This record gives sequence, structure tokens and C-alpha cells, in this order.
Amino acid sequence: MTQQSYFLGEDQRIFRESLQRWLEEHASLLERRRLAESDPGHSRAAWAGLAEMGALGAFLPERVGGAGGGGLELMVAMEAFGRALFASPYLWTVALAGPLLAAGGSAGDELMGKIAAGKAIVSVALTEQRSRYDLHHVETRARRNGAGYAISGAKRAVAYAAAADFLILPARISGDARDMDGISLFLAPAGSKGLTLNSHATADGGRAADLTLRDVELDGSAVLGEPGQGLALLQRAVDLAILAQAAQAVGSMRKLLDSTVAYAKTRSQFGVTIGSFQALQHRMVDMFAATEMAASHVQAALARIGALDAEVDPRDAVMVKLQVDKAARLVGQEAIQIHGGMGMTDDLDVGHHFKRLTMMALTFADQGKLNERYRDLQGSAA
Amino acid sequence: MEAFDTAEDRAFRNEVRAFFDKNLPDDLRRVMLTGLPAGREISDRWHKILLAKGWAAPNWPKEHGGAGWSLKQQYIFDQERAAAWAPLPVVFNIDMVGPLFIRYGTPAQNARFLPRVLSAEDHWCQGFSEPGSGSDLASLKCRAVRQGDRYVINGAKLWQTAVFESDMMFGLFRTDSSGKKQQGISVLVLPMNSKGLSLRPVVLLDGMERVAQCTFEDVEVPAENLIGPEGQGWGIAKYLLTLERLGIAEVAASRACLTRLKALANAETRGNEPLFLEPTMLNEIAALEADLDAVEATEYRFLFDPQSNGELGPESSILKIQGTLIRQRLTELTMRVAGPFAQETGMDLPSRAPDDARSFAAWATRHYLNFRKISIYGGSNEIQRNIVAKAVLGL
Repeated sequence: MTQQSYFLGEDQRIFRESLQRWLEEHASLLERRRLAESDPGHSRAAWAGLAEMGALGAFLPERVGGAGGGGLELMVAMEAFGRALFASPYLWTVALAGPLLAAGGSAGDELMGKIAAGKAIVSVALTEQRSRYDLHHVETRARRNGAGYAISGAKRAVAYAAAADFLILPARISGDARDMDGISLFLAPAGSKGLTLNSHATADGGRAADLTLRDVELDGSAVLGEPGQGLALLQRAVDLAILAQAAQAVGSMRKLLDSTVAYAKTRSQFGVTIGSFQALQHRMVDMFAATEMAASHVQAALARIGALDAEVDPRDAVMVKLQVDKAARLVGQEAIQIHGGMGMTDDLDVGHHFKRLTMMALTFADQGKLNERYRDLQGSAA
Repeated sequence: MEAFDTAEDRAFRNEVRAFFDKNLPDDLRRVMLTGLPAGREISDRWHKILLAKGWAAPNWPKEHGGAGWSLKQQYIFDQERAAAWAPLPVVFNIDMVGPLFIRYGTPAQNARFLPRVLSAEDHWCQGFSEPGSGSDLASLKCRAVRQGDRYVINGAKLWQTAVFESDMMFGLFRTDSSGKKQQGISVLVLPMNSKGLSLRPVVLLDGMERVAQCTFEDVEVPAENLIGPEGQGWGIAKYLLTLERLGIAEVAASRACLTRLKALANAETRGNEPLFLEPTMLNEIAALEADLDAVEATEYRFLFDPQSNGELGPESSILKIQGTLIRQRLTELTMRVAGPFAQETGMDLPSRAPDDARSFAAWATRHYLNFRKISIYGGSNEIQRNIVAKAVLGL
């Protein structure tokens, strides 16, 4: 077992500083608003810039041209994106699709290489009309079609699907809608025949699409991992994405806390700054505590992950998401309340962070799903 | 956070774990598990075992008889102690009085007092709060007037823990009231059998713990019992409070209680199902465990951040707030697991198996009641929020 450190090393601190500087130049609220209005929902120029500065490859393996970083690199990137409200498919392409592609042999490696170079975007279709957060609930079918497959079904709310060059589609090769076995993960080019997209803006300034699949023909080599055994792989990728998203939430929470404290120091009512009121001071301290707890927690989980294809402890994903979602709700709601009327406007970034945090809590798993997973984990771990 | 142990840390952890395994007497562990007041006999017996091993004072330097451990070693020791349900050290002696003498005592004072502090031949108690001075501690009024080679003390102290089993007191007394309230406070130590000192017990909510109101009527203390310079007591008290950095959040104790809570919730049944699976119970236990993980990670980050040189800043006040809230939620939830047995006081329970749900019920109720105090003492959670608002957020 290799010794892992909880704390950032010199290289990771330098990466953080350069990424923050880059984001100050390339991310703005104005740009975010504009991007959300139409597909692809992010800036291709900015994406290429991210590749150039090494952020896209930071967490990808060296064999595909990445830097071979670990969970702390992923944390640094996601937290910086969160703080800057940077609109991009990074979470989906790197943290979620990345581990699936890493199990995809030479085809997967080739595509990861393109991702590191800024030449490909990948998204993953996790949700169906009736699946809610059950990854194993897959009604979409893949039937044998010569040497390959033909896929039919529907996927909902696939993040940045219209921006993606490839989509990863879980589909069932055997069994019933809620069986654990029989799910394969298919890597489909975005322009595949029979694949249609219905794209929409999301409440938090992103883009997503519903997919309709009518006999989408793919050959056998399009399957990532073992045929019929895709569920475990998918769960592991989702757990990594949960932790990455939590780091993004920490970035938003830290920015909200800074903005709120700064506002309370300048906003004057009754002849004094509102930050002088103890009732508000204590609430901001609780925001601070929630933010710091979340930050430490996320770091403890991600620091244990040595590489893109390393084990992810499911317990970490469940515990972190339970705690961070709750902290994010407190920080987001209090930031709006303490900003008063100004917090209600679209002009400040406060509301945008609030909307992003609100939607994160409903992405990948909600509280009920997390409780169910917590229960199921009790047998396997102390 | 064991995942981040270095090879050296792991070796030390294994050594400590093996020691507790082998040397913690069963009856002692049982008293801890049933949560009845430990009493002096128990803590003395355990203290002797630690003394013999050289581990009685983890936080003291070697030259004063301490273990001379690093912060990380102290941290690991406390985690393993809590996990083994071993008693706390003789708290005031080891955590407060020792460091007080080591930092501020004269060689003569140290030679006279320290060996008996370490050996726990003397048990010490603290005299800080007063009837009129709680959160506003610096407003304390208990006067010590210098008369020749002695101080004469008049006034009152309140809320003193473990007083009835103590031989000595260290306290804050007002030696000058002409300046700012933080000035003119001095630290004096005195025997509990001093003439003019009387104790009135105050029984707490759990019906077992007795704290004291202590009245001073012309109590004479020799001038050589002044610790540090006269009038510098406030700074000394603040220094002692910064030493509480380890264990301020009581994460290790909470972890041990959570493990036990889950085992009990699994053993208890509701219909044909473990109580653990009852949805509101599961929901609360899951949330509690998630929050505890987060506090543990935060404590680790604050303690061992290589950028901070082992100094805890004012942001550590959130550890006290979050740690106490978690401990309180744990006792409340355990009381719920106990359900209809929660009403038992547990006075007659040492004869029962300690992991029996009914024994644990007594632990739960007593601690639920008693632990309302932990968000009040040591600087209430509201005072901690004031500190963070001012010193961290700049409000």
C-alpha cells in the first residue's frame, strides 16, 4: 500500500494557482449567461485553453498523454471551477466518463487521449424516465444485430449531450428492467443514426438533453468493460463523479461565504453595517463551519484516490454526498437571505451559485438513495 | 483518517492498541461502558497502569516525566484510548495543571508540586467560573488581597467539577480591580482543606454528577503559591485553553459511541426487523455518521496542516461547536434506541452485561442529560461563534 498524503503537495498548489489565474481571465458571469442560452452550452475556445494548460489531462493517465494525477488534482480543478462558476462538461467528461473509458481498452485509451488534447467531449446517460437514481433501472434494450447491437429506448436529462462527441449509453442485453446483471455500457458516436437529441437549458445555467434511441447500430467493440456486467463499473464512475461534484460544491460554498461576509461588512441599515448584528454573525459562522467541514471531508475522500482507475470507497461517496448536500443547502439558502433583496437578483453571482448547489443535491443521488446505499453498505464494512 | 497513517504512525498505533488490549482491566472497561461516574478509585488504578508504562502524561515533555510524544502520537493515543473504552486521564492534573507548572512554575514550585501532579497522589480541580461570571469570565470578582507573605481570598467559585474528590485547586483570582477587567487577575494554587473554604454540592440533571459552589471566607494562601507574575492570570488562562486543541471535538469518543449505537440498533428489533432499518432511525444515523466523518477530517486538517506549524488558530472554535453538537445528537439518538428502557437510571446496572441494551440505556439517558453541559462549558457555543465571527470572518 502506497503512502498517501491528505495535504496538497507543491505541484498541486502550483496547479491550483495557475488554474485560478486562468479562470479569472476566462470565466465570467456574463459569459455563463450567454452560454446557457444555446448549445453546446460551453465555450470550445475555453475548452481548448484548458487542454493547453494541462487541466484536461491532469487526472488522466500518462499512457494517453495525461499527467497521471490523483484525486487531489481532480479536487483542485473541480473546486476552482465551482468558485469561478465555470460552465463546462468537465465533470461529465473527465470524472464520470473517464473511469468508464479507462476500462475500454484501446478504444477507450484513444478517446481519453483526445479528451486530454481538448479534442473530444463525452457524456454519460445515467437517467431514464422511471429510473430516478437507480443505476440498475435500465429499460433501454440492446439486441443482437449481426456481430454488433441495435439499441432502442430513451434517456433523460443527459448533461451536455449536445456538446458531446461521444455518449456512453447503458443498455440491457438481458433480463428485466431492474435486474443487476445484463447491463452493458455502449460508447456511441454523437452522430449515430437513430439517435436524436432534444436539448434544453438547465435551471443552474447548464445544458442537457433527452435522447431517443431507435435501433442505434453499434458494433461489439463499442462495449466498455465486460458485456452484461456494466453496473459495477458504472457505480464506481458515479462515485468518483459524486466526489468531484462535491469538490465543485465546496468551491461554490467558499465563494458564497466570501461574498456574504463582504456584503455584510458594507451593507448599512439602521445606521450600522448589518455584519455588526450578532444574529447574522452567528449564521455566517455556521456557514463557515459547514463550508470547512465539507472541504475537509471531500479532501479526505479524494486524497485516498491515487489515479483515475483506482478503487473508490463507496462509503466515502455516500458519506460525503450526504454531508455536502446538507452543508450546501444551508450555505446557499443563508447566502440569499443575508444578501436580502440583492440576493434575489440575477445580477450577482450569489443566485447562480445557489442554483448550481441546489441542482447538485439532485444529481447522481438524493438523500433517500444515499440512505438506502448507507444501509446496504453496513454488511460489507464496519 | 487512519488511511493517512505513515508506516511509523501505524507501528505506534499498533503498539498502543495492543497495550490497551492487554492492560485495560475488564471491570474498568465495564464501568466506562455503563457510564456510571468513574470515581477516584477507578481513575487512580488506571493511572498507575499508565504511570508504570510511562504513558500517564502524553502531552508533557520527557524531562518532567511525560511521554514526550509528538502531536500525532498524542492524537493516535487518544483515538485508541476512546476506541478501547479506557478511562480519560486524570484530566485537570494532566491536561491543565502540568502544562501550567511546566510553562509558568518556578523550579521550586515545580519540585514541590509537579511530582504529585504526575503521580496523581493529589487530584486537582479548577476554580474559574463564579456565580456572576460565566461566559464573561474576565469579570470575575473573587478577591485575593496580598497581606505580607500571603494572599487572603474572599468570594465564591461555581460549577467546579470533581471537587469532592480533589486535594488541590488552581484558580483565577482578582488581585487588582483598578484597570481593565482582563488585568489584575492572578493564578493561585491552594489545598482544598484550607481554613475558610467551604463547599456546597450542586447536583446536575443526571442526578449523579455533583459540582460545587465554593465559598472563600478569609482563606489564607502563602504568596509562594502564586503561579506566574501577579496580574497575568488572564493570559495564562488563555494559554491553558489553547492546549485543549487535542480532543476539543471529542471525535474519538463520538466514534466509539457511534459504533456501539449502530450495534445496538441492529440488535434491537422492531417487529421482525432490526431497529436500525426503521427509516427515521436510519436517516438520522446516516446523517450523524456523515457529519462525524466531516468533523474528523476537519480536525485532522487543522491539526496537521504542514503550513500551520501545529498551531491551532481561532477557526478551531468550529470544532468545539460541531463536536459538541454531534456528541449531543449521539446521546439523544442512543436514548431513542433504548426506547422504553431509557427511563432506567442505571444505578443498579453494573451487575449486568455492559453491552446489554438496558445497560446502554442507562448510559444514554445519563449522558443525554449530562451532555447538555458540553455546549455550555469551556466557552459556550455562542461564545465560540463570537470568536470566529470576529477573529476569522472579521465581522
